[in-house]
Amino acid sequence: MIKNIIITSAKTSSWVSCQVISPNLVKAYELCFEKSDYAIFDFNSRQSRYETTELAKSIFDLRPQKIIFVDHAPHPLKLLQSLAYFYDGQEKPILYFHVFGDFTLYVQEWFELEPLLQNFKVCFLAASHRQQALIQSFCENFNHSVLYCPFPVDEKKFYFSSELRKKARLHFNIPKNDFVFTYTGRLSEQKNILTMIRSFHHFLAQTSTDSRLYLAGDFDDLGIPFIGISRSKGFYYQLWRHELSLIPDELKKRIIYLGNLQNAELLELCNASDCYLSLSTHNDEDFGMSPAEALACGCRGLLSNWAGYASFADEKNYVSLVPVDFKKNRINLDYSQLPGQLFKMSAFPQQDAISEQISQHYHERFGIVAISKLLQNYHSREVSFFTAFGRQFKLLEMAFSTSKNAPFRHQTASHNQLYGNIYAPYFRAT
Amino acid sequence: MPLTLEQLKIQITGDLACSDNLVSVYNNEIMRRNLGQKTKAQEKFRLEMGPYSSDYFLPIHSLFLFGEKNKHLLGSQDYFLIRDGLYTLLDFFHHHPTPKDISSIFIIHQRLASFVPLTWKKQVAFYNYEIPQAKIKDKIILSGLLNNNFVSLKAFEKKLDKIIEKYPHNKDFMALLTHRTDLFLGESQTGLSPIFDYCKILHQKLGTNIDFVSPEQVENFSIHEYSYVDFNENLLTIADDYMIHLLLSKGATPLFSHPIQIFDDDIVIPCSPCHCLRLSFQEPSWAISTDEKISKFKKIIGMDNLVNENSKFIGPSPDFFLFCRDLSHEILKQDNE
Repeated sequence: MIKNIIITSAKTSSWVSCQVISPNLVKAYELCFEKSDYAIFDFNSRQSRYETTELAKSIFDLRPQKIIFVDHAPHPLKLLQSLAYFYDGQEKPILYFHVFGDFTLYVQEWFELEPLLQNFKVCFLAASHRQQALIQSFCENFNHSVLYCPFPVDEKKFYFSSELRKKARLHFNIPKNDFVFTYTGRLSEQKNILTMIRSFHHFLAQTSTDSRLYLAGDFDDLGIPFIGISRSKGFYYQLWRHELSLIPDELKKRIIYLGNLQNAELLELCNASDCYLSLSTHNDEDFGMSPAEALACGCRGLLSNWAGYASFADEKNYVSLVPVDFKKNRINLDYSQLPGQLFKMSAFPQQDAISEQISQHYHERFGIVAISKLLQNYHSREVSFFTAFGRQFKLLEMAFSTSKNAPFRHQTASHNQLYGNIYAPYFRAT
Repeated sequence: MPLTLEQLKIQITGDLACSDNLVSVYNNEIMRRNLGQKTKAQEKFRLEMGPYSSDYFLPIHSLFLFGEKNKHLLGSQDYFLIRDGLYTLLDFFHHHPTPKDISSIFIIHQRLASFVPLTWKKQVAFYNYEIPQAKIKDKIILSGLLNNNFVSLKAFEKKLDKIIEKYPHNKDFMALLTHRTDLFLGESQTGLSPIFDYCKILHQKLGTNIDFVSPEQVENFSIHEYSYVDFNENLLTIADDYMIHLLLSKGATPLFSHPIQIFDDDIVIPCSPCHCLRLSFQEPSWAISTDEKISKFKKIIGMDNLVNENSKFIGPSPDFFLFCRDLSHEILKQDNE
């Protein structure tokens, strides 16, 4: 008998990180449940209302105990509306939602779903502690059903190997004693890439250390949609060129752009590297798949103290955080501390044994096997009926209703105070 | 007074040096948006030809001449990169047989150099795209706007045969194809959509394991491992095509290339980590000996007396467009030779 239905989209997500996250979550569930206990159903954005109803009927016919949503899109509203029709007056399955960074973006759909959800037992699974706090701030008397469940990293694809490290450093032509910082992910205004390379340039100029920074990923021109800043395709690359033009040649050769890399090449780069660097303050940084993969390869981390990144720092101190706050309508990263932190990081000895320890530590925290065990634990717990979304979420909904294209825009073209209030869990320690 | 081409070169070099100034990059973006204000005809063109006609950022100002009625705008900058393809470029030259009252220099696609009237030659420079270290990849994106007038079923089939000939064992295809009725000829479509014919040929030639994707999806896909085939490479409709710019900027490379003529005094402008814009100030060799074509063009224009405001999208008769199509086939033939 099928007890658990996993809902995922067979259509590839347009977000690169989500192309990895959902399949990894499915792998974790495959380890978590007996093979005969679960079935995977495709719910994707190309399905018509009729197909969605057919899907709901197929699920209903199986009478599962649990339905688990492991994808960020499409929003489950339409499927749940159809399911509610079939389940009318009958005992309903428990709903589990793995929450992604775009949860806030779908605020209107969640509100439409609210009365219907109140008939179900519901559990939200947040990818980081701070996202857990954010979602809890949206729910009234429902905090206990918002759990922390990181997105899994595939330990078979991201691991440390001393042989691979030797080979990779040779491949990238890295001198033996050079300390390598790496950033992988989108090169985007949302990720503060330009300020990152500016800070790295100043660090190199001030300290004359044998450090270098590799960057890999595609440029994007998404701008900052929450405050209505949009850019033309190709714009950010021109800003990048400008930023590089300000760096003297002898330092510029220490900042190396590699283009977009595939998984095997990413593994190589992360093995060649000593520290993953990202100063992102993007509102969708609910977890941080790129740093998680780098840490799984034995890198240390120097990250902004923002959203999901904070969960990577723990008692082992392999990850340092750069302070962030929100003042005068701006998200402020404390760049004054950065050179010192970069210097401190670059002074760590490069030893294979330590990289091995780091890799193992993060496999134990975020590996597919580890997450499947965590899921097993969560799925053995009681889940309660959904109550309601609270005032904070209502404010968010009003902001989107008023201005869907710039819900958090302040008159100075920066973030307004509502953004500071809503996203406070992302920059305040919990 | 328009600049001479020699002055233009100096001007562009200076402007690009200035665009290394951050403020200038932002100003350029604001200016681009202002230039982006469109007439009704342009707005319709943009919608019907989207996403190929979409705006994007270049360090120099670019626009479509098509539907442009504002001579003040055309004179507002010393030079513009012209995104129009053969149809609308010839239409513009027809409406403006001499550059009278237009002081800007037009930088047009190098492959369209043959179609510049003698009267305009002093006011035209050329561009082309360059892909340093272009490598042909194993996976292939099929890109283009399918329409019997832009790419006939026969031409479509022939191009697929060329792909198979080059890569007999390739099985990895992504189709980034759209279909529209021809806004130039204004043919209304009844009965079965021609898209089924294209699909039938596509499946007959390449099998059924083809991923169909939308332009929006490609924006976020990683396509570094792909080469692309452009079914609109005859430059009939758009010469500076947003989709091609997008594919190139994301690391895809052309499977079939066209000749680029390089001159010592060209200016090369990086557009992305993967491709550059090359500006030339001299006519390519193939621009010579076009008199016969141009005179035929003039004859046709004269014969038709051109403008029929109501019936067709921009005016000139269907013969005009059919003539343009024949000319574009000649370009392709030339390229293939």
